[in-house]
Amino acid sequence: MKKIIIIFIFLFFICGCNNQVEINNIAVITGMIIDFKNDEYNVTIETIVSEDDKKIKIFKESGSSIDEVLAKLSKTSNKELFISHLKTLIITKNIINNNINFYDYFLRNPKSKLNFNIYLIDNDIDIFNENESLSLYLDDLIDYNTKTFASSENLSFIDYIYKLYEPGLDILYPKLNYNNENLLLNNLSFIVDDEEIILNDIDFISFNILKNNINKTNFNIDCDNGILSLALNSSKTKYNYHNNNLYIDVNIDSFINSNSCNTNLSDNESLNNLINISKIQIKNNLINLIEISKKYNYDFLGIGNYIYKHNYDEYNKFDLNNLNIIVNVNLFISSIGETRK
Amino acid sequence: MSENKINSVGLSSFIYPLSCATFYGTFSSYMLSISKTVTLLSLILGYFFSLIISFLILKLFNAFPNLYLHEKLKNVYGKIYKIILFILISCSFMIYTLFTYRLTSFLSSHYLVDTNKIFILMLCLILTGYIADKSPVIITRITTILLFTSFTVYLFNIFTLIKYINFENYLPFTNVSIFNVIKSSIIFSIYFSSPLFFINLFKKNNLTDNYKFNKIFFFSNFISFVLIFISLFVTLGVFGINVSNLFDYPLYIVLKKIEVLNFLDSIENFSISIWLLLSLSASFITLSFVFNNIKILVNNNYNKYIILICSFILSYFLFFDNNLIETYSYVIYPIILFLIIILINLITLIILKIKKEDH
Repeated sequence: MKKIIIIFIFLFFICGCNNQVEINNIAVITGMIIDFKNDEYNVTIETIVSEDDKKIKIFKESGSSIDEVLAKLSKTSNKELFISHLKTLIITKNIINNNINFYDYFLRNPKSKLNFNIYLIDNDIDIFNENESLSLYLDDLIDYNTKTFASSENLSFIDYIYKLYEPGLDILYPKLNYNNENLLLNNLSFIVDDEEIILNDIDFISFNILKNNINKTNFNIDCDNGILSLALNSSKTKYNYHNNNLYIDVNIDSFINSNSCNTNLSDNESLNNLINISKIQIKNNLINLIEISKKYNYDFLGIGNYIYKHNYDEYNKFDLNNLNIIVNVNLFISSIGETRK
Repeated sequence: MSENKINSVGLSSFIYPLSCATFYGTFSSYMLSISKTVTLLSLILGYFFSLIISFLILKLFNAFPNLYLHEKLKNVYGKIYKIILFILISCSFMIYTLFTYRLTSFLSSHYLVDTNKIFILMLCLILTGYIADKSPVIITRITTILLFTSFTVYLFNIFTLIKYINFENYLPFTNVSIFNVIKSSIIFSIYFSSPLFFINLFKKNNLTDNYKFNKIFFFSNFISFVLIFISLFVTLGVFGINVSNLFDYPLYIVLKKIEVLNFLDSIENFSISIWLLLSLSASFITLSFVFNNIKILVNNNYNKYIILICSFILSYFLFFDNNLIETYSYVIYPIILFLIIILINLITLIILKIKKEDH
């Protein structure tokens, strides 16, 4: 009995209830915008405060570190800021241009969950509002977009860190545009020497094909006076590096979604001709994307990373611009649809 | 010591926590930092080295099946057996302190960030002290229950993380020196198999089916290795070596990736309970070894309280102000202690062999 009493006394004093905070006294940070100007971090946070019902509150502050900003924000809010449920982190171009280390705070903080998404925006503008949680909206938007149209891709914080620390791999950022009070999820982009390059839809599909990252997408092929729309079933890209030559073999399995070309699809020769046209166009799209990467010397395709991992001894000699890249595309059309013509 | 009858499976439940506990929180980050992408190969090599140590431990356990460890030492060393026992108890006590300290530092840095470390250390000491005070048979039962709970969590973790594995992350395979690979595999073998010495809490005749024990011992040892191997395989496959090396507890951080059906996430604190349970089990098994053997040297009712207070003071003064301990430099301390234990085990076996030949 004596032991049980002692244990209960100790449990009462030393359990995790020490320094506990009631949920009503917590402001859950769901979104954060970080900008860097005049040697100061300008941070805007979107919080959800749970009192009687859900309320969204926006706070803005600046300081010499993110931690200092959050400490200052705690003076304007009567709630404890809680970072574990952060969903959206928006960084401005300034952060990238000035190579600012914004991530260290999130890496070190044990309460940070590392699975929130990162977006890029031009300037530090007030896109958060107190009527609707933009962070939660964005979270759903990018999820839907990635799964359904494959025209954008989410960049989780831990993936960002992975790409940052992997040799020979540069980062593409999902871009947000804000026009006339409308928020738009743009395609992926990157910044080189203060210049921003945004990939178009075709580039992004080519990027996903080259990265073996494709889920479900359509692409249009220009043919005789019309358009052939191909839906992608699966795609497999293989790389092989030898003597400063990178051989890229792409195997695509697809089916025809719609066809407005003057081609009789039931005729083998015509179909083969169409396949050849498609192959050339897909190959050109892939080469275009590789050329963009070469032009800006920005290895978002991770070609350097491939050589680092597969031909480690040759990585030191690797130069993206001098690399000879040979692309070969194999296209299979597994179905022409319900109609035969 | 009272007669404690258990079966071989019961005693083998000690093997999983003793082999795995130090690895999760302490050795994994060190191993990843020195053997990098070749860590998995180091693990396999280390396992083969560890079989030698496991064999030595099992040989001592099998010698004089009707005697407890202190009685065996008395037979072998004669009058000086108490000194040898004292050294063993001191090492075990230090290992216990390191187990609980490491657990405390993990809990305070990732679970209860705002709570004072001393409170958490006290909680660990009281909990392990309370269980270790029970009879060894009860300890095997607790260990078995915790083991099944841990396995369930473990399987959940692995199945939810497997989809994130990228096989490219195991490359390149050539940028690590052979010296580092051998070094990490030898240290792994010491970490992995030396704690098994604490099965000497029992004597072989305590086992109702002692003829089966050797087989079950090596089987459990192999399963422990597989658990560790899969944990590192998944961590390395998900994060790659560069991100894994960023963290002190990569096996914990990787659990932050877990997301089930798009809504069940942020469950790493639940998922890491495997390490907490294994660590707690290893701590109270070690402490039980200390409690049961200290009686031979000093028969005092207050032994256990003194030991717990000493452990608290040692943790407080040795580690709390030393930031170096938080990093992988910590790895060296258990190695020294484990090596002393293995050395005593080896010398005992050699003397036994010489005595046998003389007769």
